[in-house]
Amino acid sequence: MDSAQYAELFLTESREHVSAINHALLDLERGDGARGTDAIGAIFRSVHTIKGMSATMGYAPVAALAHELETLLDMMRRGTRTADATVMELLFTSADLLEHAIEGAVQGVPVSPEVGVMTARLKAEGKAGGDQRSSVAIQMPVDTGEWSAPAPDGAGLLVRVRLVEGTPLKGVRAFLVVQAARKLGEVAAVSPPLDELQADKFNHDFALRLHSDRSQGEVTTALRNAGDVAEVRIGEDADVATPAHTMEFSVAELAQGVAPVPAKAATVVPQQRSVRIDLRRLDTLMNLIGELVITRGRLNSLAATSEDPALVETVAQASRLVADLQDEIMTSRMVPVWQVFDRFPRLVRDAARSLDKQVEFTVEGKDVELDRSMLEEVGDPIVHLLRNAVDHGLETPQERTSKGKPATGRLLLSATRDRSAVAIRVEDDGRGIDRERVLRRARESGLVDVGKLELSDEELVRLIARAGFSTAERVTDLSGRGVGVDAVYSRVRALGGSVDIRSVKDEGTTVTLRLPLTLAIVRSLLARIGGETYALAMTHVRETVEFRPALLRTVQGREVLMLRDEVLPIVRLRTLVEFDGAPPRGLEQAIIVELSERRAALVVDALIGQQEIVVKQFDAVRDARTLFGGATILGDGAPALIIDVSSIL
Amino acid sequence: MPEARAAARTLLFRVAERVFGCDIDAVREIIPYRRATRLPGAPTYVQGLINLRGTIVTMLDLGARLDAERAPVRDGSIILATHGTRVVGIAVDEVMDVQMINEEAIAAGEGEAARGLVRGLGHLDDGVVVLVDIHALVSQVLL
Repeated sequence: MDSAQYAELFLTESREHVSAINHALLDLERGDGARGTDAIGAIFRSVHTIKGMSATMGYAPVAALAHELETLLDMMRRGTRTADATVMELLFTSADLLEHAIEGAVQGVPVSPEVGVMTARLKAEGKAGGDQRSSVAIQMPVDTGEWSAPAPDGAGLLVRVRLVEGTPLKGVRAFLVVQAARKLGEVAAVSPPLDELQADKFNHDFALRLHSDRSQGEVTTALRNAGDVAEVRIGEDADVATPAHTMEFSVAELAQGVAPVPAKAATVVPQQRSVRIDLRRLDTLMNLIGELVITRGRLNSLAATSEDPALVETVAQASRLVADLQDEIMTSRMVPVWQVFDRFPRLVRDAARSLDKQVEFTVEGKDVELDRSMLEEVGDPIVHLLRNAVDHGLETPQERTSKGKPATGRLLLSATRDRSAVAIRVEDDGRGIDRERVLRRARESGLVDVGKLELSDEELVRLIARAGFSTAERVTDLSGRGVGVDAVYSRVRALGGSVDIRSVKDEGTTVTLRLPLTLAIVRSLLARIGGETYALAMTHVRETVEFRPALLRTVQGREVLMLRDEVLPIVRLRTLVEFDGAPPRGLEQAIIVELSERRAALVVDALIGQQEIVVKQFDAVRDARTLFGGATILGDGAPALIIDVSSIL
Repeated sequence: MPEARAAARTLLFRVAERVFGCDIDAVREIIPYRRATRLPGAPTYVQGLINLRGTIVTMLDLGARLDAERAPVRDGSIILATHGTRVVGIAVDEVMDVQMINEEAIAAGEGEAARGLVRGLGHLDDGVVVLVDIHALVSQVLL
């Protein structure tokens, strides 16, 4: 493990703590007595951990800020300071600066002078309240090389660990060993206590009590694998028999799956086992499986012409395995949405405060999972929608009261999942989109007929999704001019999703983003125009029908397709892609495409079939049609364009 | 007096009967010609998209760019040029040689189509080579 990996670890852990601090701050702000005390405790613990870790890593500005923050929190904990508005503001700002300082320290960029200013300010606050804590100067105990840590009291297997002498960042290392132990079972006690370990306040050894159903060999191996461990000793001090250097023993034991269960550990709840994997590895795996899926398509078409039953059977089997592998890899990339949603309560709170609005923010469906890359992409659009809702949707308390609504506005963010998509909904009970104003703006910009008097929901969506279309009369620092739903709309469309807006005057607005579960691999319908192949995502295909002349009608001078009782506008792919070859001799096919409530019949020469395709982006070419949502590589190695259904409806 | 610049390693290639050159530093690799997937709506000098080991690359036709009447390149080589993080294919009839060439700023009069694309002329033993500015070419085509 090199220092870059330590930094990575530090960053991950610190972010979690900052997130916890922000949550607890929100609790503290709205909390009553007991909840408030809990919150202060939680903040204190997180700040303390960050302080310890950053001191270990040598990130002085972070450690200094955390230290002063800790002083203030300690005073609050002891009741000498109360969580009044000034203190709350100080805490919120400090949390932001702490996050900033952490990110900066890891990236090696200089921190903003605000961090120093805040540190000094907190220090002054601490002096004012009288810092009664002892000095926090980290004292290095003398290293004796002996087993010096006292055995912690209580039940559980006594495990002693000694780190390699001279290990840098031994606090981090010890923490990693304890983490490794937690993966094996329950760690009942650590001696010296974990926070002292993390602050490097220990010799090279420490001890812990472990409740686990693993064998001693397994425990030894797992702990040694945390790295820089010189020795692991298991068992009470009196009967320490095997200085467990014996890797061979434990590996063999693992291979046989033999795990003698200690009697007293029988009731221990099994812990979830997991490992940290570098995200780039997962991305590489995803790319490889993408290539493999393409190759499978090719292999299948080759096998289809083969008369060798053994070959056909083997290919079919390989095909199934590839499908299973794909499923597994996809699943391993799924992460719960809370990883992104967790920062929103704080964001909404800040937005509401700066606008003097009262907002009750609820988050639902935090555990719904989405592909990691998709989740990263969708964060910004959601931020946009939330800010919009607070800024333009929800009214001021006075305005709400005068309308007979509760003074506090409701804002809901929810995630739900169905078969092939995740729906993310942002719902407010504010004033709703002002259709009059949208219509007026649209008329002024010549986007609709001057005589038009009403807007349907769909027309509304289309209008406000246009680039640069904004009705905001005043510009706040939250939502800038001309960037609004259009930004969200284009981003979500680029991800292969769709946006739906429902708005009722004075009742509120609901924006729903529907997103595919993953960006990379999409089930598609391949169709042909002349010798050219095009792909369409199956999520937008309702059905396909033969394009028989009997189904054709003319309505108001335009050709339409009559399907059962439905009248569908006809879109000819041949015209759309400006193909100038001769039309096909046989019967054409119509693909009925749909997106929310819009439908059309897309006419193609022939259908090739369904296939999983890997979506690849290509550089945008000047003047090219914006019909395409990417390209894919077909079995024969040639690229094929993917038609973005939302661009033709 | 034409302004003389330092000699640069230049890749020489032929499109129809004319010899062109471009800075070798902008060239990533050269592959045999392959047909591209047409990109509807793109200018005629964009042949379309090709698959370069799993990456989709836009391919241009330099001849068609300089003279819209010229028949498209359908055989020969594709020069893969880098521009920033992007890679673009340029279809040419033949890749000829790499030479050190002294570059001279060009006098006006290469024609409307060449504006901004030609950065100078180079002298060979048996003629003149038109030096193409790959970066200008790419940034004119890609958004």
